[in-house]
Amino acid sequence: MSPRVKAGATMVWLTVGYQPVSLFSLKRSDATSMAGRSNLVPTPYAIKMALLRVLLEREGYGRRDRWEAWLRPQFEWIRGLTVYVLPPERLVVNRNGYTLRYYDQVLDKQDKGRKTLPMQSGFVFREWVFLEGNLQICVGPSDRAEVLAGLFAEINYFGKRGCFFQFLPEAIRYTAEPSFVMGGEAGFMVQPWDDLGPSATFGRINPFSGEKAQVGRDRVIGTGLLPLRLRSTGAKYDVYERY
Amino acid sequence: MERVEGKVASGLAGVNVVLRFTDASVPSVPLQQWLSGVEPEPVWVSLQDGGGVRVMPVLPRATGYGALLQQVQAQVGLETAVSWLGRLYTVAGVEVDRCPLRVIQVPVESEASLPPTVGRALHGQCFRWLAAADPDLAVGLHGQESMPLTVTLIRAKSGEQWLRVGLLRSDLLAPLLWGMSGDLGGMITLAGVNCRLGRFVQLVEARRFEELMAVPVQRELQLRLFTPTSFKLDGYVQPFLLPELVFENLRRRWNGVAPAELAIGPVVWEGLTAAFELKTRALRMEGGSEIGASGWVRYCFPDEEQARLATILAHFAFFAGVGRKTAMGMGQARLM
Repeated sequence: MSPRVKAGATMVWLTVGYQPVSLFSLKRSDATSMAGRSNLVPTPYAIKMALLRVLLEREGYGRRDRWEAWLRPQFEWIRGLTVYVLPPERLVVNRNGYTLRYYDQVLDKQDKGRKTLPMQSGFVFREWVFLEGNLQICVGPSDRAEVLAGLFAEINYFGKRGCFFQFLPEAIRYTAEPSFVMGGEAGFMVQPWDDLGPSATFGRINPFSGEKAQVGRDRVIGTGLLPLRLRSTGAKYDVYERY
Repeated sequence: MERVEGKVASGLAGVNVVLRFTDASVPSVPLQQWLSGVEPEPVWVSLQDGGGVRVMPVLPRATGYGALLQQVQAQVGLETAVSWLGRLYTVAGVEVDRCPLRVIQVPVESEASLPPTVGRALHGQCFRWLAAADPDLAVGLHGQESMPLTVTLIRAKSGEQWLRVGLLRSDLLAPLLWGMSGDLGGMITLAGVNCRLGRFVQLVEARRFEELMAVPVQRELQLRLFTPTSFKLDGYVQPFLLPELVFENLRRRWNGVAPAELAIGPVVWEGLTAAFELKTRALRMEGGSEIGASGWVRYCFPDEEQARLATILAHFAFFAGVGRKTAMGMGQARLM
């Protein structure tokens, strides 16, 4: 912890670090088909969902008696965070195409009386990102930075399940200002930057509820400027380096 | 990362827009209209450097890039595709170019073989391009003792030819490309021969002075001289590449263009010529032949500090050239 900033006393920013330990993939929020390009780094939406997941896994069961009363302020607190992401020093995007069997939701909706899940096989396209170096996430401002640090410590993947990240306890920092913000002076790569909308509710983003999330209201897609430079590219790969 | 509007520092050589091919059916605008409202309106030049599709909005003077960068940042967030040379792209990124040292080249197809005196014609053509964008700059450069620009014609064995320009100042790229842009893909005349310029500008290399100051030290340095190289010594021409002539020439040129804090103080060069394979050649100019040596030469610097400085200057030689008349094709060099 920074000697000048005491977490918990005032509104502070928390910076945490992760070492990527597997390939990363997170389909871009503007993708409309199975052929999905990947975001280069986790977006605020993915990070907040990861925070929410560990919070629910840790405390949700014990709070089931007063579920609504407990969940609402927790969700709003996480929803209101501002998130900055500093990519690692080097990223390599691999574009892969392969065939697999996957859930056919169209067929499932057409025939609700089916007793088995309809599956289909087909060609899918995925981008997998190799992250070389550590990923840093700066969130805030918050008066619960230490609680946040505890949640971040329990996160072990972002994006697609299995995209593992190792939390780095020694990288925790509390600061009065964000430890990094992105300006456009050095150049940048553009990434869709999806986040929870200011009026999003847990019910709407919960895939198990009947409510539906709306893009533009519950999930807002902005423009992220990552401090990266495209070093080389080809049909099957992109190589980026951080400025 | 969220956009943060900030002060744009000076020293911008250019702004490159990185494009990503898209086949999505989304609204598009021609790239030329993408930055509407920028004055003067930029011309768009395609760049080739092996790293994706890059296009540079070129202004006549580099001083306008601060405002242009802000305009680019404002436009990036809009969900619009751009059309460029018949294809549809999205803007994938923006590169802010602050490299004062740079080598660019453009393919040249000539209707007949270019004469040996083409160096002066290339020099004149570059100055016409600079003058078209900024006449005062062109006049000022003409009067300079040490030219921050090198020009040569590169000929490959395959018959391909490139007009290669080395720039030593960040404010020269914009006016050069602005003037050149009207001729890209079109015809120009060099030494009386009709030539077609390529449609793309190739970025061969770009570096900052600070980067060269940090290169790993080499005690042995081997320079390859692609074109005749010589020095003026007491009013006479010296074609042999003595180490003190080579590195003192480079040191003077470095100090002429590098930031004051990176200047290299006086050096009594004590380098040794370790090996060489040089041959004198005459380069015909309009005023007569100029003699110089081409081939390779290897130097050795026993002193650690001199080796460090010589290594920096040897890297610098690729951009600045060595010796006399580098703006007319002589002294083109590269550290091997």
